[in-house]
Amino acid sequence: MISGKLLPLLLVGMLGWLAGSVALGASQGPGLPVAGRRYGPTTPGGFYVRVAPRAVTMAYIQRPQLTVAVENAAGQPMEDVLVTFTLSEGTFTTGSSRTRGGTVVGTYVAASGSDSPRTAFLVATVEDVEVTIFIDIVPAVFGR
Amino acid sequence: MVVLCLVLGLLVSQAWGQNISIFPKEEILLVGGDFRLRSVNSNIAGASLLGGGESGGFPTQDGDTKSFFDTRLRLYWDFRPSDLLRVHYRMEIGDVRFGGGTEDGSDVTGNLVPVLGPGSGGGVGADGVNVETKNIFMEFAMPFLQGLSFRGGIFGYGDRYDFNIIADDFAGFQLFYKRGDVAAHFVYLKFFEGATRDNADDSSWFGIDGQLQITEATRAAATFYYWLDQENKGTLGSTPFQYWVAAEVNSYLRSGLGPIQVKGYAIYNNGEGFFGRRQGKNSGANVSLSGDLSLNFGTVGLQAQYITGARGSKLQLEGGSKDNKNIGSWVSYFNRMYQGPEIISLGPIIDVGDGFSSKWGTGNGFYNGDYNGRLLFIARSAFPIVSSVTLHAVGAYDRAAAGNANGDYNRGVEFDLWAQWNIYPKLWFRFGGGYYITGDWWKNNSDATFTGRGGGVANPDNIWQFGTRLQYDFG
Repeated sequence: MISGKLLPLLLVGMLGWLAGSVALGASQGPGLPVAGRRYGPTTPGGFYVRVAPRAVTMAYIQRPQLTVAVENAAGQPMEDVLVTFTLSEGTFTTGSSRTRGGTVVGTYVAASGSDSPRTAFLVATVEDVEVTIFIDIVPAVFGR
Repeated sequence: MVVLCLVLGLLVSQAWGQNISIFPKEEILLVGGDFRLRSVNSNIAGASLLGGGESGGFPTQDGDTKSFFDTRLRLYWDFRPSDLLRVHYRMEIGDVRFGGGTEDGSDVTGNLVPVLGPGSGGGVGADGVNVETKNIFMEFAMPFLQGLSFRGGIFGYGDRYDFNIIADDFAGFQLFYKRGDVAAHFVYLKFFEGATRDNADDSSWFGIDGQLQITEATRAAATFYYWLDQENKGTLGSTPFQYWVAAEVNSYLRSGLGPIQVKGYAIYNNGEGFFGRRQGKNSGANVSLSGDLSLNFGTVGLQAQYITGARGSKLQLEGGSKDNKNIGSWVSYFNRMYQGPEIISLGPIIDVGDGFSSKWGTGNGFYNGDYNGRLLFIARSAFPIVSSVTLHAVGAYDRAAAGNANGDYNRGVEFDLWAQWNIYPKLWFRFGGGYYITGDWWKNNSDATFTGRGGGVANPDNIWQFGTRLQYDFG
């Protein structure tokens, strides 16, 4: 027996369940290897470029992984496409400068000893399209 | 109750959907930290107080040369059962007392153990060594929305403007969202006493920050902070508050000479109560534009910054003649606002500079001198001499936006020169110094004192500071 007072609460709870299930289903969809906006087409290849993550906040000691994905107009990953990188500071190490499985994955390391807060950038270039990733570098511990 | 049921429904559904049976035994990872040896020599006022002068510097007359040397180890640990969850712990050990709000200590032999840095760090042991927990918090990915994560515990909060008044001794929680071209977070912080203690600040801080990649080369961001000053609620008959609204644009441009990184921001501040000490309202703005050009032989950059101010002095504001008046000064607890000068800001050379801009200044909510506002021009450069050594040179012109009580505007000129030598990949040595030629603004200026209420000095010295820093970075 459910009292009249509990019924609305139960319904709200069920509504929450339903909303949660929908959200979960949406988040667990197959998706692309790199989500977010795509830039292009490039010339002459006609490729499209995605970068993830687009927003990076890191302490200077961290080593974030960045991914550049190259695909065609239909969203299919493109193989063996050259991706080059320009950095304002630090290093960006990749396993290959050409796409494997449609992506180039690398690890960013900030300049040594650079623990002052600032914004660095990394530009990923595919043919004539350049995508800039801004990297906010913050002290690992605030207050000296 | 309705909200609670909604949340419970969400959580139950997600727990059902995640299908995580059990977390494995936690991995313990050393994720970062540093070991540092540092020396400072300076004639900045305050360098003899609080163990080395991180509590707001300013020129004084016939000031002595002070020096100190310190050692510090910081380690950051993760206790991580999976990539979805971690408990993070940060600690430090050193031969100083961490926490500028206390007096110098001594070890069992009577040797001085100076106090360095802000906050309220623990005391030293009989051997003169200090151990302190800096931060401890839990962070995990929220199950019901991809890209959403939660952090709760004791942690330092900083942002793109280095808003770090709340760096120490507070507890709170933070929600992060990062997905695609959007990143955002909400933070609620409270000085760590609540209803269980009655001898500390009881303020609450709220912050929302979001950023969006507009084009492939431009990012925009917006920030909002609100400070509810509960501590002084009864002092003024109302609840003092401050809020800050900020917008920032970062862009990467191509030019004939090379790529230019352009950064501009504007922060507006409004509030009432002046941190519980004064009646009246305040509003102010801080606007900055900078550009750094990358050349084949190094980088050169320019920055211009304007901070609104009010004519006169804090003494006049507090002493009665300006009480209950609305002022146009920038009220701030931001740090390192000037990105270059060693003495004007919290400098990069040794990372200890008193910094006129330091929030640890006179404690009135204004930087030293920022009651009068600022007009600051910075020219900076960095040149790699060899692959492992980079030379940095900086010049800055410092002027008040409004005259002080004596009608003076000219604050001074600073020159810095330092070198960074990367000895090994994670071991580096930085050394150099800064020199500040004081202007008339500092003469007989009551703002240029520890309390902001003193008489000032007639002939302030030019300021210099030299430091070294040898550091190994873990991680």
